[in-house]
Amino acid sequence: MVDTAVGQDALYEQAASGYGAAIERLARAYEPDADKRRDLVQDIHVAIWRSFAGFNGRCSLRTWVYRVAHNVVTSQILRRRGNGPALVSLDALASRPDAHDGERAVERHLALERLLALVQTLEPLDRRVILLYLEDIDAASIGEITGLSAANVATKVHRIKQILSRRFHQGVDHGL
Amino acid sequence: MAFEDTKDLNRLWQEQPAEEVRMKLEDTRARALKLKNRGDRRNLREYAAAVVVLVACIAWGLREKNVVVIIGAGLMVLGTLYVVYHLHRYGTVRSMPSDLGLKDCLDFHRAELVRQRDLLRRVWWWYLLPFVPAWALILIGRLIEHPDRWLRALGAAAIFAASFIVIGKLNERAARRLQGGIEDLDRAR
Repeated sequence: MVDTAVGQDALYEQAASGYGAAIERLARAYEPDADKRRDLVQDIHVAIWRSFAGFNGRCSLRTWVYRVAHNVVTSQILRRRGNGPALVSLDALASRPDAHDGERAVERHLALERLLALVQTLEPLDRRVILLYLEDIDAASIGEITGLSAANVATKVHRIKQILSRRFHQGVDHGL
Repeated sequence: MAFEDTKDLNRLWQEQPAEEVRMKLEDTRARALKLKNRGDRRNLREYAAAVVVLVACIAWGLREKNVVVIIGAGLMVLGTLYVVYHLHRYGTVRSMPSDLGLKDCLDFHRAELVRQRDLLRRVWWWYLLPFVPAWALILIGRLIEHPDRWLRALGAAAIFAASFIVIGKLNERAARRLQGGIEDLDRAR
C-alpha cells in the first residue's frame, strides 16, 4: 500500500508521463467518437490516480497501469453492452476474407486505419491481447495483465502474428 | 508501405499521432471530484424517486379505513425500502470500482459479470417477492369490503402474477446470457 497521498500523486505522475500516450492509443482502440474518447482517457487517468491508494508493489508499475486501464474499458463496455457493433474472436477473424485485399493501401495512415478497424472488431479478451502485443509488452506481462495462462497468451500472440502477417504483408507480396 | 515484419505494425501503432489529452495532477483531481459529484447527484435522484413512492404509499395508507389494506400499504413501504437498499448496495454497474489494479482483466471482467448475473438471477427475491404480500393483502382487503367483486379481484391478481412472471423470466434470460459470457471467460483462461 502507498503510505501517503504524496506517494499516490508521485506514482500517478510517473504513470501519466510514462504511459499517457499508450492510454490514448488504448482509448482509440475502443472509442471511435473523439469526445467520448477524451472522456474515456480522463476516466482512465482518474482510475489510475485513485488506484494508487491501494498499490501494493506486488507487480510492476506498468502491469498495474495496464490492468487498471483495461479494466476501466471493460467496465465501460459492460455498461453499454448491446449498443455497439457485433464483436468477433481471433478465430472468427482469421477465417474472414479481408475486404481490403487487392487495394493499394500504401499510405501509413490508411494502414493504421485498417489496423484500428481490425482491432475494433475484436472481442474484449482478444482485443486486450492484440493491444498489449502492439505495445511491445512481453508474453509474461500480457499474462499478468490479462489473467491468461502463458500457453494461452503464446497461442493468441501466434494467431495475432499470423493474422497481421496475412492482412498486412500479403499486400507487399502481391505488389502493394 | 511495406511491412516486412509484424514489428513494423507495432511501430506504426506506437507512432500514431497522439491527440494530446495531457492530464496534469490537478486536472485528474478535478475530474475525480466531478465524477463523484455526478454519482452523488444520480443517487439523489434515485432516492428522490423512492421518497415520492413512499410518500404516496403512506398517504394512501393514512386515508384508508380498511385495516387489511393499511397493513398492505405498510408492507408496500417496507418492500420499496428493501428494493432501494438492494439497488444501493449492489447497483447494476459500479461506476468506478476500487479494485481495478488488484485484479487481472479476466478476474475483473468475470467478477463484474458474476455480480450482474446474480443481481438478475435473484430478481425474484429482491425486486418481485417483497411486493407480493403487500399486493395480496390489498386485494384481500378490497375483497373483504366488496365480496361481490371477486371476479375483478381475481383479474387483478392474474395481471400482477403475469407481470411478475414476465419480469422474472426476462431477467432469468438475461442472467443466462451473462452466464454464457462467464463460461466463455473460464474457457479462455
